[in-house]
Amino acid sequence: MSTVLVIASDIPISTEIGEAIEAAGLSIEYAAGRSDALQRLRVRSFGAVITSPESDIDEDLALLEELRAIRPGIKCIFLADHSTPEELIAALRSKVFACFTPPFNPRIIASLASDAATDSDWRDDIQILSARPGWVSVRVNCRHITAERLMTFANEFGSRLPEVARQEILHGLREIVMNAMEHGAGFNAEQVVEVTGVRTKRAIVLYVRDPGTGFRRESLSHAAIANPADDPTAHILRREEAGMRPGGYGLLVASGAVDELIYNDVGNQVLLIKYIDLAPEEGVA
Amino acid sequence: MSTVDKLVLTPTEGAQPNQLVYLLQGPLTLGNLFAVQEALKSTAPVLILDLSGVPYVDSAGVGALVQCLVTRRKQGYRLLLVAPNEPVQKLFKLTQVDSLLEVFPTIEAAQSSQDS
Repeated sequence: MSTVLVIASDIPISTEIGEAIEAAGLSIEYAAGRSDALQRLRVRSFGAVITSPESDIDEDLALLEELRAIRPGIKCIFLADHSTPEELIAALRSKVFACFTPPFNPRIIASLASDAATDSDWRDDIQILSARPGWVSVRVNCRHITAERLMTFANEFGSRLPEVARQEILHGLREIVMNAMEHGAGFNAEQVVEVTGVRTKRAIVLYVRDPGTGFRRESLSHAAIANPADDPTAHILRREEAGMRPGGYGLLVASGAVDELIYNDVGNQVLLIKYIDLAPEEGVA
Repeated sequence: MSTVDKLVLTPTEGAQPNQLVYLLQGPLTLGNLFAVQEALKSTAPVLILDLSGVPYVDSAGVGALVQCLVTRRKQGYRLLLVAPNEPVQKLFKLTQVDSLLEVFPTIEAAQSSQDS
């Protein structure tokens, strides 16, 4: 059974996360601090390490370097008191599994840690194509866990946006990324989706490109977006007839979550635009 | 299969013999769609889903609920939802299914709706 190492045994949130991991069926060990964590890692391997919520990302990155000097493949989930776009880019470059800042949700962190502990194909799942504050481009393998990892980083990049706008942007991005991975790539881990987030003075612009052949809007009778106004379930029957899973609301959700949703002519590239007046220091990236 | 979207469903008996109540804890998303579909296949005439422990729902989750609703209505059965949080209610509105769904603030209110 894989074991997760949780640093900072005396902090309630870390204990809660540890208990949630145990409830998920994995074993845990607590480390009192950085030195103790390194010592424990010399003795045995761990499926994943969760850092102390009282450390910052720069400290966690320094620790990660030491951890990987002992165990090169170690997966690390950062808990930190805050994050900046620069720190998040550094974390992505260092192949950190995920980053979380307050408010922490122990169940979600524990669930991701459980996946991290048993996932052996993660290392190159998120590749940075280009990154600077204000413009981040990544290429991600088409796996559900990778989409969830991407969303944890997107959540942190958007942490200084107004809450409602941030939630809407994340909602739209999640739907489009899942659409891209499922319909564009069939959740084939060998396929990749490209995602770019750009902050402008007045908007957040997201770009998603999938490897599929695209779609035509007139062929979307199985999607809710094609339903007549007086029949919001018309597509359900069409999906049942076609043997498709329940759903078909993705484009409707994404188009409602952002101000503009623009597809290219083929239908395998899409722009999501959300208008927000941003102060210079704010933004997703 | 990822467990990121882990959803726990706990069945309990309803206040009346024809009712079945499920307490859902965790997000209702594409990642756990098939697990929740099994619960939604219940043949209890009144199926009550307590969504108070569901932090968020995605489009696949909405699809599962609406397909369940449509199927149950054809059979003359009901699907009642309890205590969805504000973002989830907003999602129901965004997807234009809010007027179709029967939503109640508490399990007690849902259970007693049968009598009204």
